[in-house]
Order: sequence, then C-alpha cells, then structure tokens
Amino acid sequence: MKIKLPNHRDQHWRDTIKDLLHNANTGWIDLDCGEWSLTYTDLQDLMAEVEQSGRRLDSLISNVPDTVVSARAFGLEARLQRTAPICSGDLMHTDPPTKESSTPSTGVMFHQGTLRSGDYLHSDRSILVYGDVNPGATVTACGDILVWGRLRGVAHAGAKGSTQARIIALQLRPLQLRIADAVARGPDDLPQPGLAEQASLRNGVIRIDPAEVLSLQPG
Amino acid sequence: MSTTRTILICSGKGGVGKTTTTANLGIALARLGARTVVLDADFGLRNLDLLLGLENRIVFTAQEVLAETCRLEQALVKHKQEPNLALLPAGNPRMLEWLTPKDMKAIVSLLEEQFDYVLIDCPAGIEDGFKNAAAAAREAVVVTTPEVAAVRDADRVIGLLNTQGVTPVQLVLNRVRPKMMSIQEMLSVDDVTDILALPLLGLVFEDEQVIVSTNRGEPLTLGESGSPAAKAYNNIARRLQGEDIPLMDPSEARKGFRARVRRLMQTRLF
Repeated sequence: MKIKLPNHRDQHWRDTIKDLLHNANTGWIDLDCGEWSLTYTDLQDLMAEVEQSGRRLDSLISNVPDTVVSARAFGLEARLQRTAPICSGDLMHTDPPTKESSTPSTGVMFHQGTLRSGDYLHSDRSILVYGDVNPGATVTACGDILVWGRLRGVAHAGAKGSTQARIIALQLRPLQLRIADAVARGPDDLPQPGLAEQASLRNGVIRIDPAEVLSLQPG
Repeated sequence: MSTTRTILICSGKGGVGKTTTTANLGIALARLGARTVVLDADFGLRNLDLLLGLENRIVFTAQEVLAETCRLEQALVKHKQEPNLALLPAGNPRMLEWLTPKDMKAIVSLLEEQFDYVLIDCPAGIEDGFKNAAAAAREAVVVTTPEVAAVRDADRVIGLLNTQGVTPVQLVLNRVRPKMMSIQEMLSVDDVTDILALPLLGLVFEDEQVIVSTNRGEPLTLGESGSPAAKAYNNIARRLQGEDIPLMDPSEARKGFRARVRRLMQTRLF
C-alpha cells in the first residue's frame, strides 16, 4: 500500500498523517514523502504514528536528499526520486496537479551541504554538489558529477554506462573514481591549489585534466 | 524556557576519550560555579562513575527514577570534592534493552530543571545507544584523535547529528602529540579541521597524567596540577561558557619545551 504525504504548500503532514494512515490498508506501507525535508526527529515521530496505527513502514521515497539521508540513518530502505512526476497507476487519483509537474526537470540535481562519511547520494540525472564530498561518502549519477568543493570520497559518473560522463571538482582528490565501467584510484599527491580538475574517460582509461568549460548534457 | 545547555559528548569510534572528556569537563564546569550533571548514557559498558571515583556510591539509576521507584534526588550521586557536580547513571549494565529515545528525553528534561549543564556521555558506535543519547541532546561536542579512523568515524557521527538538528556541533581534538605532528607523522590540526569543518573547541595534548588520574578515579581538572591536559580541559570549559581563550599551538608547545631545556642546560653550564 502506497501513501503520499500532502503537498507541503497545502497542508502539514503532521495534520493529515493520522487520516492517511486510517484510510490505508493494514500491513506494510510505502511512504512517498514528496518535497518534505524531514529530519531524524520528524521521521521518529512519523514512525511512531505509523506504528501506533498498527502498520509497518516498508520503504520510503522522497524528492529531497535530506529526507533520504535521515531515513537511511534510521535503517529504512529509502530512495531518491526524480522531481518530475512518475505516471504510474499506483498514485492516488485525488493527487492534485502541482505546479512542479508542469515545469520540466533541468537535468541536474542540486545538493547543498557537505556529504559526510557514510552518506550516499544518487541521481538518474547529473549531480551538482555545493559543498565537500568527504572520505567515506559516495556520489553516483547517470550523468555528470560536479562538486563545487573538495571531492575526497567515491564518485561514479555515468552509472548506467554513459562513457561521456565527467567528474569535475574544485579539488579532485577522491578515494576512487568510476566512469561507466572504468575504475581508478584517486591520485596520491596533492593538486596544484586553485586549479579545478576534471576526470573523463579516454580509450577506456580515466584521465584527469584541468577542468574545461563545458555545456552540461543531461544523463 | 530553560537556559540549560544539554551537550552530547560523542565520537563514533571507541577509545578516543569521550568519557575522560566528560569527566574532566564536568569537574571543570562545576569548579567554574555551574551546576553540572553528567549523565552516563553508555550504560552497557558504564565507566564514567569509575573515572569520577563514584562507583561505590551508586544506588539507583535513571531507570528507577522513570519507574518512580525512587526520587531523582536519590539517584543523583554528588561528587565528593566538587558539590556542584552530580552523576546520574542512565541505566544498569544488566538491563540492556529498556531505554528508548523517549526515556532519554524524559530523564534529560527532569535534569534540565535543576542544572545549568547536562553533559551526556555517549556510547561508541552509531547504533541504538547513540541514537538514544542523541535524541535528548541540543548541542554536541565531538571528540576525535588525529587518526584516520577516528576522523572518519567522527565525520559519520557529525552527519548523523546534522540530520537530527543538533546544533552547534563543536570539536575537541584529543591526544595530540606535538612532536609527531611537527615531523608530520601524525595528521595535523588543519588536516582534521579540513575534513570535519567544525569549530575547534579545544586541543588536548597526549598526557600520561590522564592515565594515572583515570586509574585513581580523580579527574585531572580536580587538582591544581599544571599538567597540559588539565589546562586544556579547563580552557575548554571556559570556552563553553563563552570566554575567548586562544587555542594552544602544537608547534609552540614543542618550541617552549625545547627552549626550556636549552635554558636549563645553559644555567647548568655557565
């Protein structure tokens, strides 16, 4: 059974969660958190409500990375979904058409803030991280990965096999780089300061060069 | 609205000095005149009482307070020499499963009525014990050492604290060896703050006196000893209170020591 939290501009989820749960079938629940950015504490309250109603949370999807990170911290199975609406029969018919649905997705997912050890970020498009990617964190994207900060974790661009994908960072010193099916360890020496670098795939080998101006291609 | 500061002391990795920091900070804050309570949330492997030398005085725990079999005053253990400091063990090592985040919140809100500072000694790891302890905290001090594994774990913990809305999160860098740092055999202070990107609340140098004091059950900050670690903990306590005290510089510490030796030699020779 799938439940969708109300649009955050219309109603607060705390006001409607009881009714939503009441109307749902008993048993396992897949929760769609939409645009809600839920902290660990919010999720704790939410889970308490779910449990109180005698139902169990099976998995969670959200458009907001923060919510996914909180949910994973909780040990829940959580997935980030693209902002563009998915047309599936599962969605409730009462779902009001939102403004976002008419605007096309830009092709880039934006994440602001540092990704710390253990964090995991994935997008079916390209990703722009405004912040550092620390050792132990992983970023994967079907398109390009851009880090406006230091990339020191693991990055996988072209996760679905696009060999054109690139990884660009202000400081590119990752533990490991992957583009499509190729894998490379990050360089050991410190880079020249003030020089943004990019990794790309050439003849099946990942190469690092000074970053060049490019037009982004959605993955 | 209470002005009590509820501070979680955590690290992720074990053995970096959470409990030592909690004990010393607790004493230091109490000596500055703040009513302070240290709450041992590491109740499975509790040893904050050992470090404070209060092991034999524990009768009740927070568990009994919540079950209403005793009053809070009965469960609080006052420190022998420092009456401003009290210890509350969260639970009994034999009861591993009773605590929930809700319980921790209840305990802490009881303590907040009586104290200026509530220091929560968090267990190592990021599982239930950590989540319980973190549920009740408003701010946090992350303790780490200049080692890759400790920094990595601290980073993970900071990420989790951020998702829970705990703020501010500050950093204590423990067991710093100025000599090893100066010859770059150890991560430098900059290396650590570079990754963790947190305000540095204090540097504590590696100090053998810590081991002695731990075994005796008398935290270093209790005495008037001029040991480097005691000074560092006292400085951290005063920074927590909002005083502006410059951080110790590891390279200065080394120079200072060398200079002192040289001076000593010169006086002997000439």
